Amino acid sequence: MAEPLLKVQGLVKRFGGLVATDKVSLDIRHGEIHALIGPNGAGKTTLIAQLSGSLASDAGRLGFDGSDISTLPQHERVRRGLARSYQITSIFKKFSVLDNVALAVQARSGTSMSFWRPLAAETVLFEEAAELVRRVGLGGREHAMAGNLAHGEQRQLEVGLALATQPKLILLDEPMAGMGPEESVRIIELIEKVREEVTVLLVEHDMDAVFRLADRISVLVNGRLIATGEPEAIRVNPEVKKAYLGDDVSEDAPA
Amino acid sequence: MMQRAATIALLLAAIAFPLAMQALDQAYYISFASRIMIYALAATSLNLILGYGGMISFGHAAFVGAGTYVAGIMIVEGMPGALIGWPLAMLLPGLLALAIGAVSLRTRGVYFIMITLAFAQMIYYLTVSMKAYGGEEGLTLPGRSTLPFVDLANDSNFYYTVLALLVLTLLLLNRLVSSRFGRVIEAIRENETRMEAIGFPTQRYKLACFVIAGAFGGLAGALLANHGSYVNPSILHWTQSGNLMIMVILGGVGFRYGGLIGALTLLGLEEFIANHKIGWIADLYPNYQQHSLLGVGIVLLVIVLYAPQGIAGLFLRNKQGGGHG
Amino acid sequence: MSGILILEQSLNGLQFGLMLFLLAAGLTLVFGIMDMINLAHGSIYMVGAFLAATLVQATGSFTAGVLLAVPATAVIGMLLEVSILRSLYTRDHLSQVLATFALILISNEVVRIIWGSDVALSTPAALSGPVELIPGLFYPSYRLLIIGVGLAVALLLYFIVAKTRIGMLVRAGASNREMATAMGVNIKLLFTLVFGFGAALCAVAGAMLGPIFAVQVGMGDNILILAFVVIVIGGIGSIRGALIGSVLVGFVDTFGRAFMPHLLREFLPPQFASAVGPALASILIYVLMAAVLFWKPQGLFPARG
Repeated sequence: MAEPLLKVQGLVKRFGGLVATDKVSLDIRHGEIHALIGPNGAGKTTLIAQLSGSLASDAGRLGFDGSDISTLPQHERVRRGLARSYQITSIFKKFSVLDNVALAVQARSGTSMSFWRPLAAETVLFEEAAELVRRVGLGGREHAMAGNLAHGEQRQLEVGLALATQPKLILLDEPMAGMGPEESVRIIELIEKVREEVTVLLVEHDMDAVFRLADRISVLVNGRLIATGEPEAIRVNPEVKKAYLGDDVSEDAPA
Repeated sequence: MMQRAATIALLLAAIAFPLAMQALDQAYYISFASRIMIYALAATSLNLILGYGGMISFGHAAFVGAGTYVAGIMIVEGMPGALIGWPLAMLLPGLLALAIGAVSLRTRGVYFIMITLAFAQMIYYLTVSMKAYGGEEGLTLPGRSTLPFVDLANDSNFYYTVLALLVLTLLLLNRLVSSRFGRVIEAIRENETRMEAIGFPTQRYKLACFVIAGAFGGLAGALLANHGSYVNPSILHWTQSGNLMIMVILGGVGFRYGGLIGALTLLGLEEFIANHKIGWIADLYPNYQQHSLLGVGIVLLVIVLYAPQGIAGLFLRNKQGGGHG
Repeated sequence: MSGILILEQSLNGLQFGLMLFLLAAGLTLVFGIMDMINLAHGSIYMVGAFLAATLVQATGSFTAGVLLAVPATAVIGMLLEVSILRSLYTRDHLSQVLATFALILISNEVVRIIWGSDVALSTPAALSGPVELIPGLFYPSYRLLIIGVGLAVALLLYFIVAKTRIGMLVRAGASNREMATAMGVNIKLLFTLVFGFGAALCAVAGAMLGPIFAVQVGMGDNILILAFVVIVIGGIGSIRGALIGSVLVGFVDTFGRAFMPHLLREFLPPQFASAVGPALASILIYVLMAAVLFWKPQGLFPARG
């Protein structure tokens, strides 16, 4: 498919005098895993927020699946298949794991302006949610309260919530934040498992994961996109090395 | 199962209550019980947005008050039919809630509190300025609303009507809370940002909740106007919103019967303090009964600090919300 | 509508605004730094007024009475903070609202038990006469004193907050609590002092306004609302916002009450004007607040980003 799934054109975002997003243009192709890397403070989360619709851009256009979504509110973008997960875990802590995922399923299956029929009677909804809970690797933890999960499990749920909306494109904002190597492996395997059905834009600091998973990598520095390309090309790119001087790429990139 | 049995027992007791009171020659308590039930209705409607929705609105008294004025004005203008007046007392406050909510719900936190308060004050001053309907003094109504076949002027009849409406409201709102809509409202309270991020237009749902609460608040207002045959701007004052909030937290924020328990406890407590002199307290301070609000304040403070889930929370460990799965 | 009248109402507006500032300053600091909604702020204002009235009677001197009431109220405020309010900082806003609302109920009744429903506090004899500011404009000298006191306190506050170390700590705390803690500031002590200072300001306002507004139970309830309107307009956590907001609200409220009925009579039939006039005047500040929030949702000068 020649037409990219997500077409970002000239996105700009300013906070007072600070330019957080500096005319960023980017294409995300159908079916790829596209990683977004950059030093701390580069503006990655700000960019994700603009793509998902929770933050309004000052300039630029956004095309998704053939339509212009630049002015659509966040919930509308989700309906069209553009979902995100959060760097800082944002789940429903007082709800069970199953109920968390069921919410996402509920959002896309019919209206919730339904005042009479008991939710508990919707077995189909909960079965689907249970299936998703298993897929995400939390099988057995359905009835645990989300707030009681271990950090790694909460991150799995974090990603699971976004996946449960059945997106075409999922924006993963540092899914492995705060995880040790064992826990990270679970997320990496999850991403590899779902890539068949979902296009992925992955923001990550963990360079092992990035180089293992990504089809293409884009590098964001000070709000500007300085390079986009295949992992090997990015690895040897002098601009990228300069930006990361003393940082992850030079030190930990697998040889 | 236990809960079912208890509920039925309570209902039977409520039905038998006026008969018992009449037999004991304590007819006053029939009227008192009606008042409790009316406030229970009002508090339950507030619990919907406060307890389930997490929206701290200091303007709820405006909807109750609007209901009193709709019902009162209908009676005064010679159209006392409850079958028209009472639904109208739900519709107009509901529309008011739609207008106020559409503006207020764009804000959050203290800004939301202040905006709802501001609107409530506006409506309060509006009623004060309505000289045609009593202005600041209020208006005594020539009688109660009328129902076919039932003479509402009779306190027992009025009691049963209020009881029926309260039970109906509790049934409807209980269904609501267990429905898809109810789940959405609770989840929005829990994490509104994520709800948007999984595809829910949260504004719409909050507004719908606000309107429903306003409408049932209006119904309580209509009944209140009928109870005392009196409408008065003071019911719209922001401190009355505070009063309703006290009932909700006393009973249990976000619990199904929190409004009922809270109204029963608060009004019962006030009645008890006012009319039953406790010997040893009176010895210490003879006029203590005039300061019942002191007791209310202390109880409220203690509840907030040490038992924030209210009375219902003391007995029921699991709250509504995420209780399935 | 003469120029004299407008000048007189302007002075009234300034006077009311400056006193509102005393309340709003403490309120916005507490909210900005401790993130606490304190409805009991109006009750402290009431206690300050009652204490002042009693002390003025006891000492026979207005000045002495007020000067004693201020630290006394500050102490009461700090005791309240240490005992009850401190445990509310970590709670959600609803709990804070309800707990401090409970304090309103309790303090109203306690004051009623101790003092009765109201006490007398009259303007000091030396200041009971008017002063001719400009030919034709006679203005009560007591109100001039209020303006003077208000300006002095505003200046003092500006000096403290902008120029001293404590002020810097307060400003840091208002914009970022975590950072202030990380800087090694004794947060608990700072909070108690801030609260005490806010209580002192309330006492000044209560004592000064007592002769004008009557010292009675419940006097804090309505002015509390105005103070909240002020800090919402001015921006939470900002002293500058509180000052500008208070003066704005003071002017709008005073001018509205003085001129709205007249204004309406120009355009509307008299029975409408006399019915709607006072109502509109009362809601004018709410309309102002809504307008400000519409244009600047965080208030005019939000301390936090």
